Amino acid sequence: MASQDKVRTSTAEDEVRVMAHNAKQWIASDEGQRAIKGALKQAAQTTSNEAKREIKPESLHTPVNL
Amino acid sequence: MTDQFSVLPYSIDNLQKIFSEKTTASQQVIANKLHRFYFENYFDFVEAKTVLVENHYIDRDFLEDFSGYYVRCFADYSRKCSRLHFFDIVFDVTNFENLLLGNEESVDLASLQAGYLGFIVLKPLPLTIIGRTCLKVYPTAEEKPEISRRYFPTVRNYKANLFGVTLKVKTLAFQEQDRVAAACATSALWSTFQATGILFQHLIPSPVEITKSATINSQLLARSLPSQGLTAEQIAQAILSVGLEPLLFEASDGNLLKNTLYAYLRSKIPVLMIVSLFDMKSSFPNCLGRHAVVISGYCLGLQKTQPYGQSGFLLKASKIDKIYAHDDQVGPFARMTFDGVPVPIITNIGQEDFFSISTSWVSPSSGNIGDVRAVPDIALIPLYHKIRIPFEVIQALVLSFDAFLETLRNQANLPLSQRIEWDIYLTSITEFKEEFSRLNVNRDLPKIEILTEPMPRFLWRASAFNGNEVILDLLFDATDIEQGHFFVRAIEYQSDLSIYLRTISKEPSLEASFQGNPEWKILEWFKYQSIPEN
Repeated sequence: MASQDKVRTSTAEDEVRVMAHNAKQWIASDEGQRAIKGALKQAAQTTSNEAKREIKPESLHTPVNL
Repeated sequence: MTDQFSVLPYSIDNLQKIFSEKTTASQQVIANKLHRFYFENYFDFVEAKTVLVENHYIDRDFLEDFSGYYVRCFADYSRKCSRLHFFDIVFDVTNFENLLLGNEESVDLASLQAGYLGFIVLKPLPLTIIGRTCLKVYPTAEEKPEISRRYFPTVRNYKANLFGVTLKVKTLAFQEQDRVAAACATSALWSTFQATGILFQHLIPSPVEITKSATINSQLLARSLPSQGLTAEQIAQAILSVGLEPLLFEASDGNLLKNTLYAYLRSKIPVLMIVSLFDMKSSFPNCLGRHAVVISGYCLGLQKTQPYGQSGFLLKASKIDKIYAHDDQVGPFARMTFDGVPVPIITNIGQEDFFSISTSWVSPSSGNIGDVRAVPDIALIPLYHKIRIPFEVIQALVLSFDAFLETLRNQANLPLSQRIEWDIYLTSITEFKEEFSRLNVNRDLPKIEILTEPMPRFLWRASAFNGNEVILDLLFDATDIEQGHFFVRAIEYQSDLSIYLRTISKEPSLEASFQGNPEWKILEWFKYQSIPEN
């Protein structure tokens, strides 16, 4: 039983290694480069929209008194 | 029979009578106070049965306010308060006297402690009578996950010594502003310091001390006492005066507000929020003024995480549907709901819809509770000086790393069945290692290496979930500087993902794709990890 488990684990791990190897090749491809840069640019856009939010001076100087 | 205490069956009418008898407030004033409605609902919910009135109670905070202001008034104000203790068990004066004599036949110490709901100090004033209030919180998700999704991470233990009987309650203290030594911001600061004083080991000032320290550099604008309210700058000054650093953030975006509140509250740090209150029942939303509350808890009430930004980033904090605030005009842990109702406001570019949350304030127009809405403006987080990297920096990094992983999942077989859901929050080395040491992790994980690895005192932790299973932890040094190498390490709980990330990160062209962005530091860590042999 133990040896069957071992075989099953190794097979699953082998599959992951193959998938990772293929992913590595895809990353190096033009398509992969475009996709990754596009995703990172989109993420940066969200972050930059957040950064544009400014604190108004009156928010700092108006008394809070209710 | 002593006059030091009395015992009464709990009812809202009895409570109102006690409020009136033990202060100089009229029954009419008390009947109109929002606190009365709050306490009625609260004590009904927790099924209060008995109230024990401790007469002639000396409250340290009121004594400081008394010596700072009231003692120099011409009118005679008492320096002594009353303290009301609430229980969900039934007993009378004789039962309690027997207990003090050591006879525990009718009521015993254990059941008194088990049934203890907390206390309210009544200040001997004509209007603002609610002093230090420590009431047991509503059931939390940790205690009763089947019925509650509430979290109150900012609570701490309070002890009440009742004639030699020590009673304990876990909560965060609340008190109403007295409009003299304290305005709403002072009360919010006072509650905030109740939590941070224990967390970061600083002295907890009384309301009058907070008002004086807040206004020390701005005496010309308005006199400090009686307090005319504090500006955000003065609130920041009060935070600095206890040795903490105020972190300011803009709070007008609902998603960012949820994410930020969660990230700090989860590490037990309360957040002081400044809002504008709008009466929605006047002909057009009418601004009543600016108000400060302290956010002390949250409810993860939504079933699903809500996608954020263009990449559809999933953050656990987006499940928040309510926050709980110490609102000095309402009560402790008062509910404020993210219900999606905007407030239309005329600005210099025309009418705009502003994000808002519900409140329990009474509308001056309709007289109804709930017709006043809060438009969040800014928030201040009191931080220990070593907590330097703010949440927004970590969120930006993880958001970008997530976008990269999601691209791989869609196009390059990243071995995950569904999109990652992230849980980002501040933690400490102690908390992280305690929690990690309790985990049953797979044998491939270097548990000893992680537990013995030197780490900074404060960490940002981003946990990645695939469904309910945690698959990855990213740890960041919260004490570093933003341009530093503040990624500490990853903890890989899933061997498939580990092999995959360690393999792809070694692709030479990948670093160039990140164009020097700081999120590359995360992948760089994987790059330098060896790939386990078959």
